[in-house]
Parts: sequence; structure tokens; C-alpha cells
Amino acid sequence: MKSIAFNMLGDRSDAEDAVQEAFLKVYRKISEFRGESGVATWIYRILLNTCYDLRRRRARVRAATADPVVPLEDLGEASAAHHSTPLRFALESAILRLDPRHRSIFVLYEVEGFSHSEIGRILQIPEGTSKHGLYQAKRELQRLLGRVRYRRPS
Amino acid sequence: MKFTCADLPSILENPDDPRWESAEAHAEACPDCRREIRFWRELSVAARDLRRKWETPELWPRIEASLMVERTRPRGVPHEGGSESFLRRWRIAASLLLAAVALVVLWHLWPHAGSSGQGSDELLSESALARVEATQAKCLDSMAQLEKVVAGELNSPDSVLAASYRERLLAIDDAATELREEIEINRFNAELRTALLSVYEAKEQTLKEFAGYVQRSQNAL
Repeated sequence: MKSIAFNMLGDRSDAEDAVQEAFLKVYRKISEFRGESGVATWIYRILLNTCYDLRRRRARVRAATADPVVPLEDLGEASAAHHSTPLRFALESAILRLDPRHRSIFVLYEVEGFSHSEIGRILQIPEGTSKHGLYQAKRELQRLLGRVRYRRPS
Repeated sequence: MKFTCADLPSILENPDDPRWESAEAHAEACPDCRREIRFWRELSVAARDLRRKWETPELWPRIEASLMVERTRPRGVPHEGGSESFLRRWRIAASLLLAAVALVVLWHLWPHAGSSGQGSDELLSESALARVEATQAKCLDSMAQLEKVVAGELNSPDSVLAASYRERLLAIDDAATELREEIEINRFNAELRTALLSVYEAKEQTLKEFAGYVQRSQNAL
């Protein structure tokens, strides 16, 4: 859960807050759980929605305090002295720029290893929509990473 | 059937597609498709490295403590039963009616900028402002009632639809806050008031949409 939250939010402390908040919501809503999906699926769904909410709240605070977000291009420039950025680091930064729905699909499938049918149950979408969402996410990442010099994985 | 470059997107979209072998054979002779497939695979390899594990010995005690606090808190709103859900539908209908009446009244009281031929600097008179503020207050009351009615479903943590409506309402509230701040220093500006009214209308519309969804799902049960 921490790993999913981290990749959705890009920050360890926020990820831990999201996990804590998700557990509280699970506790509050447990009487409403009707068993239409597995408990784990239901908990992951709550976690992802908590991450969406938390990210939105954090973005509002960031906007209010004018905390600058490092542009993706700067990652390439900063790393130019070292020839290139490993794809992993560039990817970590690019993921946070994806549309939230695409980001969740990418994180669940590619990072956490869920199948499209599991993702469909978690996000309450058809399996085909999950596949298409992953394709869209990768296309967007391809566009974003095209602006950064990165080192290919060996 | 012969594999072509145009077939590649559908293959990339489906990792279980039986044509993958043909795609790879085609990519050997096609540098564009080869590059595309290689990027796709590199992305998957790099993504696997993003899975994180870190020790947080303080997290579980923190969660336990917050659950203990939650357990000792008095229970909130009781679970809604059949007769209450009838009452709820009534309240939604009454709120919608009140909001509609408030908007009609506001429309009639509004000094229309277009009809006066003046631009965005048009100012409201003291009495017109009082009427507008009273009508806006009624409108806000009715929206607050509507919000109360949908609050339970709107704050549901396991509904993606509710999360999307929450997001939309937050954006609308942000816009309203900004406008109200500007109005505080320029109370008589008709353009700002018109903009605020549009924002309220957008919020009301969004709440109505969500209330409709709530009603439909209750009827379906």
C-alpha cells in the first residue's frame, strides 16, 4: 500500500499519511462493505481515492505557498553534466505528471504487477478500459520522456 | 494476414495479443516499430524498479492510535432506512425547487449589463446590491441544503464518481472564493457579481447532477 501511495503522490511522508487515512476510512466504512468485490480490492480502491484527494489538497497548499514544482526539462539539464539520467529517475518524475486515472493504471499494472482484470475491479472500469488507459499512459510517458535525456536500462 | 506498422498500436495495447510474434518479426526489418517496441519494454523494466519498500516502524502505532480515537468518538449520522430515504428524496426535490425559485427571482432583480449598454465597469446601486445580496444568500442556503442531502454519498471514499464530483466542486469553490475576495474590495461591481452568480449556477448544476445520480441509484436498489 505504501508503494502504491508513494508512486501516486511522489513523497514518502504523504504516502504514509495516505495509508493511515485509508485505514481510517476502511474502519469507518466497513459496515457498508457489501462483499461485491474482494476486501483487498475495496481497500485498494479506498487507498487510490484517498491518494487523489490528498494530492489535490497538497496541490492547493503548494499553489498557495508558491512552492515550485521542478519542471521535467530541468531534470535533463541538471543531469547533463552526468551525461544522462537513469530512465528510472526520469520515469518517477514523469509519472507524477500523468492524468490521475492513467497514473493509477500504470502504477498498478507496471509497478505493482496487478492484472488488467484486477485493475478493472479496483477502479470499477471494464478490463478493456484498463488496457487502453495503460496504452494512453505509456504514450504520454513517451512524450514526456522525449524531453529528457535518460540512460537506457542495462 | 501480413503484419504492418499500422497494426502496432493495437498490439501494444494488448499484451496478450497472439500477433506479438508477427510484430517482432516485422520489427526486425522496420526500425520505427523496433524502436517503439524497445521503448515499451524498457518502460516496463524501469517501472518494476519503482516498487518501493521502506521501514516505517512508527506508522502502525500511528494507525492504531488513530483507530482508537475513532472508536471512542460518538457515532455520526445513523444508517438511512426506507422511510428516511423517502424523506431524503423529498428534501432533494424541495431544495431543487427553492434553488430554481431563487435563481428566477435573482434574474428578475438583476440589472442586466447588456440592456444598459454599459461595459464591465457597471456599478450596482445601494438598493439593487441589497436585493442581490439577499437573493444570493437564499441561493446559498438552498445549495447548502442540497449539499447536506448529498454529503453522505459525496464523501464516500470508495466511489470514483463521488471523487470526481468532489474534485469538480472543489474547483468551483476555489473560483467562488477568489471572486468573493475580489467582491469584498469592490462590492458594487456588477461584472464580478455576474461571474459569482455563474459560479453558483455551476455549483448548483453539479450538485443537482450528483443528487440525480444518488436518486437513481437509490431507486435502483
